[in-house]
Amino acid sequence: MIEFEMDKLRKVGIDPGKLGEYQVLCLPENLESPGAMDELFDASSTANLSKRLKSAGLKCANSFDLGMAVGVIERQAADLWLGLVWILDKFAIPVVVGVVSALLTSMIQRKSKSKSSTTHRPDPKVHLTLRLLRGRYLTTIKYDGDPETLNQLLSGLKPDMEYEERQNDR
Amino acid sequence: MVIKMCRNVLKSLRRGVDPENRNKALCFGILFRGLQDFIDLTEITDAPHWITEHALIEKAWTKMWDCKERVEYAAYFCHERTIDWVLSRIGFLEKVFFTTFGPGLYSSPEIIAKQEICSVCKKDFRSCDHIAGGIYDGIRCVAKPKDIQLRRVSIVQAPADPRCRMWPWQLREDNTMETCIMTAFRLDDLMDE
Repeated sequence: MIEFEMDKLRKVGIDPGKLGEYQVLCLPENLESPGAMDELFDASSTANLSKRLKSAGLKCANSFDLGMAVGVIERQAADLWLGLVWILDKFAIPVVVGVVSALLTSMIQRKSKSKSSTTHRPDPKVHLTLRLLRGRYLTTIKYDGDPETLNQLLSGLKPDMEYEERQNDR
Repeated sequence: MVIKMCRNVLKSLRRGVDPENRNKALCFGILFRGLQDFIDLTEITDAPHWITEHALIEKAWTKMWDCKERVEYAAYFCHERTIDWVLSRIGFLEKVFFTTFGPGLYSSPEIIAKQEICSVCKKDFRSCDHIAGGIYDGIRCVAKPKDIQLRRVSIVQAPADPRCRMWPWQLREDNTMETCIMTAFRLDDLMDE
C-alpha cells in the first residue's frame, strides 16, 4: 500500500530518497487526480501552511523544496484551500494539528465577527486532504466542510496517537 | 495629509534602517486610508435617495468594503474607540444593504498562476518565510501572481472579494450581464499615489 503511494510521488518527480529528510510534505492539491501530471498546481494556501509548519519547527517541504515547477490555483472565494498534506512522521501530527487548528480558529473568529455584522452569507469552507503515515498504516482524511468540524476531527487525532504510543510501549 | 505623512516616512526611511517605524507608518497609512474611505462613503450615503440610484448603490457598496477591510486590518495593530465606532457604522450599513438587496450573488474567478512572487523579498513565494498578510519592514506581504490564466468564473454566495457583487439591474434584456469579476483593490495602495 505504502509502496503504491510512494510510486505516485516518484511519478511526479519526487525523489523518494529525499523524503526521509522531511516530516511533512505540502503537495500540489491535484497530485492524485488522474491526468493531472500535465498541469499540477498548489492550492492557494499551501505555501502559507508550509511556512507556518516550518516556523513551528517541523521539517516540512513544499513543491518548491522538492524541485517541482508547479503553478498555483487562486480561487476568489472565501474558502480555505490547504491542498494535500502528507505527514510522514507521526511525531509531527500534534504540531500539524496545532498549526491547522490555529488557522481554523482565526477563520472561525473572522466568521463570528462577520456574523455579528449580519452579512448573512454562507459560511466559508475548508478543503484539505491529509495523509498520515503511521508505521505501516496509511490514513487518509479528505475534508471539504466547515472549520469547526475539522477542528474537532483534528483534535481527535492527538489522543489517537497517544493511545497508539501506549500500545507500542506495551 | 496623514496619509501623505505615512507615505513620506516610508519613502524617506530606507528598508532595514528602522523597520518598526516603517511598519507603524504602513499600518497608520492603511488605517487613515480606511478612514478616508469612510468619509467618501458617508458623502455618498448622505445624498438623498442614494439607495434608489444604481450607480450610487454600487459605489457605496465598493467603498464600504474598501473601508471595512482597511479598518479591520489596522484594528489588529491599533486599538481605538474611533475604529470600533467606524466598524459599527459599517455594520449598520451592511444591515441596510442586506435588508434592501438580500445576501447577494458574486462572481468568483478561478485563476492559475505559473508562479507567485513574494511582495517583500521578490522571490518565489514558496521559497521564503514571509507569511501573507504580515507586515515586514513597512511592506505588507502578499503573493503576487505571475503569468496568470483565467480558468473559469463561478457564481458564489461566499466570495473572497465582495466587491464583485452581481446586481439585478446589471442583467440586460437579452439575458446577458455586464458585471465585475475582479478588482484591483489593495489595502496598501497609499504608496502608489
